[in-house]
Amino acid sequence: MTPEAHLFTSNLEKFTESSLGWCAKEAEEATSTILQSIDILLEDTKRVSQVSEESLDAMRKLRGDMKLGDFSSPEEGVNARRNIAKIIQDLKGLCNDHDEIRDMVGPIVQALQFQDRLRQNFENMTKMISVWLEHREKVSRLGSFDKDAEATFVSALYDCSTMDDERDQIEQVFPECKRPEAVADDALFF
Amino acid sequence: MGAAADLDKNVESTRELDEKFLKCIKGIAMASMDNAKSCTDKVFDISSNFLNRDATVVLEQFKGLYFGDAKSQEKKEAMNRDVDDMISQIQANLDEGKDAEEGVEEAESLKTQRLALSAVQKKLEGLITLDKGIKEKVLPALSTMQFEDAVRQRVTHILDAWELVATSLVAGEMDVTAVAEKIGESMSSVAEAEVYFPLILNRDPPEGAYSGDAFLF
Repeated sequence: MTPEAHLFTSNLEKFTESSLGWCAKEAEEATSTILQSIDILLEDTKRVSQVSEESLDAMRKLRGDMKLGDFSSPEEGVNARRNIAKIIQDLKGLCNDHDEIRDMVGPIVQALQFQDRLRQNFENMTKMISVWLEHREKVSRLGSFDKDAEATFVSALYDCSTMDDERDQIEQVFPECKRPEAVADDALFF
Repeated sequence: MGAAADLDKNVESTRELDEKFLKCIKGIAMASMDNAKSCTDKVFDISSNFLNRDATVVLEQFKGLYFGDAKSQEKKEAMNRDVDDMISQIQANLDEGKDAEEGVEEAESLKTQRLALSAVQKKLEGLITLDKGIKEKVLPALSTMQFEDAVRQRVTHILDAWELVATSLVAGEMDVTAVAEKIGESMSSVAEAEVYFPLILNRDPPEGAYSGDAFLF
């Protein structure tokens, strides 16, 4: 690769990080939009009149306790993501304890889960593209993409993945390479 | 002869890696778009809990036209390109002192699609104007829908860019400027272009060529 092409791919990688980073951040911020739906539901008198006071109190209390946090800094972002996981778990608990609001709260839980999966997709795709470029340089220099090189590459791709649907895609393209065990994070999903 | 054979081997190995990786990452991107779509659908389900029937119907119509079928994105992009071409043609006509509408034609199918989307958008705006309280109720659905659209475009641009780069690299000496310009042409939002152009092409993006990432309302 010429130095000019090298500089270009390196800058395109930075652009990729920035663009997919924007997507991941927007996915995180969309979480608050989804949570606002709980406030709208709680203010909907017609809807609320069909629900028992006990369930409403539980929902109001949970909403009051929800703290999303700030996604803007890397340190606080980690806490904010933990908070989302907790909110999802708490809402699932609320659905289990109060059958009558399951129809109302269930879609909110699922929307939050899809949004969280989406954020992970964007973060993982960024890492995978970097892994590919790194291995591409080696393969191009050595002139060999043999079984060992493929296994090392695929293992690095799996390391970037956090969800089963991503692993399904990797396995589909590289069926002969070993697939790691499922991770605990996916247990958040229904 | 030996060096040429080595070069061929390098190219073949790299091509194999590229093809497999791009297939894999495209599959993951498609799975991510399924997650985005599922999220939009769920937010629409939530909204139907607190919107009246009329508003739900209009909102669903709007979503249907906005995303429509599998080819809707292409249609929407074609529609935007068509309108851009018409504007460029009108501007060129005016610059040359000709009749503004000379040679300006809009493709019939795209025109129908644009007018339908615009009509439902007007209906939605009408609902919001009539009932102030409804605005905050439709916002979660609209912003989720537009978020899905924006990320779909961004991911498509990234994958198309890398596919072009990989193909150009294995084809031999890559014309970096031509490839960079071609990728630049695919940018569709201000925020995206404002990062791409200074970073890759060392210049500001063309003025007035892009829309905002979001949002209609």
